[in-house]
Amino acid sequence: MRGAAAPDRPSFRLNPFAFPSDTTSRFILLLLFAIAASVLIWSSMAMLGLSLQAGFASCSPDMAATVNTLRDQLGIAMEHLQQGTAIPQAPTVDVAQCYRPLNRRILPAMAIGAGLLASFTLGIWWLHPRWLASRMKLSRLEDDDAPELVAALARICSEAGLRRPPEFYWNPLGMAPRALAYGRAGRYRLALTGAMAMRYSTDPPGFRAVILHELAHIVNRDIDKTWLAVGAWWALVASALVPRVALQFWIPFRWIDVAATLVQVAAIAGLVFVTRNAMLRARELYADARASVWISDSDAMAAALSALRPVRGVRRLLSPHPDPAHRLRLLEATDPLFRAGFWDLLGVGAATSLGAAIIGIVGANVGNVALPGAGWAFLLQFALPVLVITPLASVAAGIIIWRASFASLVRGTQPRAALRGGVAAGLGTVLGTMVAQAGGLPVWVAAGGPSTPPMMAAGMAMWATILFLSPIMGLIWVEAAAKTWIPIALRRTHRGASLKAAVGLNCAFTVPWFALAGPFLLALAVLWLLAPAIVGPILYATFNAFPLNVLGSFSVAATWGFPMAAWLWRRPVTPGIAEWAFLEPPRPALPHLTLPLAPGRSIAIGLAAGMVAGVMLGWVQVPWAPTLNLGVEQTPETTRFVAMMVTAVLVQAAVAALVVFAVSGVRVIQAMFAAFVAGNVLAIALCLQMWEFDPTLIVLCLQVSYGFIIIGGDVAALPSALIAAIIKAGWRRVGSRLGSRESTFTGSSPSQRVPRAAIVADG
Amino acid sequence: MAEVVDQELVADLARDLVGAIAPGELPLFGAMSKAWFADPGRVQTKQGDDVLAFGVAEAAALLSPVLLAAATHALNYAGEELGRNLSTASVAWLREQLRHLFHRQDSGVSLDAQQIAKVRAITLETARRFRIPKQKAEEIADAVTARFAPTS
Repeated sequence: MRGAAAPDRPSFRLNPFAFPSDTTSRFILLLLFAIAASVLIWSSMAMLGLSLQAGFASCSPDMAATVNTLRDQLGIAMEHLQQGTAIPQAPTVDVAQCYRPLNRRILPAMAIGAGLLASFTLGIWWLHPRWLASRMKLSRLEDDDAPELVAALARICSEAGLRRPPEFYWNPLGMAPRALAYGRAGRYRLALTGAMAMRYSTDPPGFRAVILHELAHIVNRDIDKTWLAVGAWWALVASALVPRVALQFWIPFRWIDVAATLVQVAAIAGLVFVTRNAMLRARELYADARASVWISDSDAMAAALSALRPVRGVRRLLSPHPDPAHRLRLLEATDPLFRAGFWDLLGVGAATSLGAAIIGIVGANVGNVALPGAGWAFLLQFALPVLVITPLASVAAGIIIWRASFASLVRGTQPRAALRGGVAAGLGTVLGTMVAQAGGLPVWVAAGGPSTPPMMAAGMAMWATILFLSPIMGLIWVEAAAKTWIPIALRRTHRGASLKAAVGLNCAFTVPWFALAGPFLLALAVLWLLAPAIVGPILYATFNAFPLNVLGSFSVAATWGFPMAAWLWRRPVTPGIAEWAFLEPPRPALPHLTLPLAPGRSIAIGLAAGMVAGVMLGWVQVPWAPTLNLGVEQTPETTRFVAMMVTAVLVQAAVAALVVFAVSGVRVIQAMFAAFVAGNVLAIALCLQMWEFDPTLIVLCLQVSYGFIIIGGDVAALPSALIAAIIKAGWRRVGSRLGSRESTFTGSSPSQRVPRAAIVADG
Repeated sequence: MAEVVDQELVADLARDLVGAIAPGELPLFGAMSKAWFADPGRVQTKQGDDVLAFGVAEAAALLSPVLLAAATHALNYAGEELGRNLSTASVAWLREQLRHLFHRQDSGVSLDAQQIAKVRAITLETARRFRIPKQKAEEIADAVTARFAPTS
């Protein structure tokens, strides 16, 4: 089939195994959903079964009073900050004490839920070979049974290069043609029905295609995941959903409880079922891709796939099998395996926030019961989700974007998955949070449905906004890094460690973004709502206090430094065609791929702008400066100093915007780099101004200003660069529509066409 | 007279039928008939675990179990009908005559038209239980009855 491809079809297939597959990310997602769902259901069962709603409601603090107390305390703190005196410790009300007995009663239920899910899942995974053998009436296929069949199977196994062939089982009286790879922990089996087995003589190419497909599951290492996923679904049904429904018949009847049960059970069952089947579909597609490489006669593979039952309409989302038409298309081009699916990323977002919320609830319960002091409970509630969930989410979402970027770059188009994917992940994150918060509805109802203070509502709205925007920003950054590192890897014959390291580092770097930047921004936003005057001093104190100033500067440097570091590896030791990027020959050279970085230009603009602005800093400053706690008495000189720092921050924002218009490639990253360069020049220039008063002041000056200028500068440069990039993109779009720009394409086929506009000179 | 029909006789007739109707199944017929005689309950018309298996959408892809079942039922009926008036000592002789009959050789026994119609009905019923499409069931029934019809 590939040989007979139409001229406008891609002449090469991308290697979907160059990156971790969707099967893995969907599997992790499913496990997260299942665990979160089980704990959530069992905690709601404890609430209903043990009638704990009223207890939780009575412990809930009066939200309006809490907001007022917080505002008063912040006002006092601000006064002390301005006077430079220590902030007095406010008396605290031990709410944790009130919750403790309730926590003690709800925790065992959560533990039972998690324990049952784990044991049922592992049990199904462990026992499935026996269950299948009984269900399919299988027996071991011995040499004596059918020597020619056994020989044919051995031959196919050696074609697949299996180090350890599976054990073959069969039911010679199975009348429907079926083949299935199964097993656990490295001991895999392949089951055949008689109807499938006889094809070794009636249809050898078709038989080979099916067996190779099944062997591909073994090579792709998806069998354990598959049976754990199947186990997780049935375990959830048996250990959580059925008991939840059964409980409803045991407790006193209330319509609200019945409605809540139905909604909860349907939502959770639907979510886990759809995720499980999405994973099962993905594994089939990857097995097809693997098998199609082994099968030189792709007509046989196409014939085997054509014989499968079609999956139409909405069943495509619900079926565990992909539509055969979709599978056939993969024989021509594997590009669909690289798409950043909207629903996949929505799922990642939902799993992240739902999982984080559940872990937070468990952490708070455990902390309050088992650890001394409310601080521990608070720490477990917020730190545990960050430590457990955020890395998983970063890896899952990050890999999806890397894959999509890879496909776009090889095909010669601009990667554009991050924005759409980020919106999906953001929506999912908000959705997951809402589902988790809905779990608190019974308590809210039991408390008499108290109104939410406007301050609290505004805080929640901000939190939702931050949750929505964080994945967008994070994934745009991931895409920028992929844009610079993938061309580097594509200049090498072998993928090597550099790409793996780049993907790993990229995912690791997004963790602080998701985990720390979001809560920090929320805290700032809430502070701004409660006491706007305190935000400036808090920011200054955060950016300039050791070690936050060092860590903060390092983090902002990593933001641009990681993508730009690709430039250092731009010349491969052994250049060649990137064989790893393609499934099979032909493996084309990719002349359109150039590094989208021009660091020389960014440095020049940053240095020049920094020096010009640095010289002018003594005369031109912003007319307004916030009151900051510099640790010295406030004088006109200190106010002027603060104004100069703020000016330095704003100059970096302007430099970032300028660079966006002056360079091509990954503009925002280069803009932030230029802003960093300018920031350093400005920090030195600012402190040189102190030289004329006292040369020894220069060190002190750098201590009190460097962190604020560099971190503040990058924080200001980011939105500035983004806005400039949006304006530039809009401008170019209008220009191209008016016909002022011409697009010239290279490449032999439309799908390989590379707009010249996308070709960027190496810096 | 159940002992008239033994496994060898059934396998003999079934192999003959497989050779005529589904010759592609002959290489595995030995293993299939062995499994059938060991446990006829292993026959599965609709195979389990479609969720994960590579399953081709094809009905009645395997006919050997149907032909084995049809041969068993047809021979049992014929054996009972023909052996009604025979002594125990003639069982071996009757078995041999049945073998000659379905191999279209000179045989000392024969079924009348009514009995042949009954063989056909039994075969069709067997095929129906195996969810064989009607056209294929007719073909099987024709093949079986042809083996019991008198040679002219």
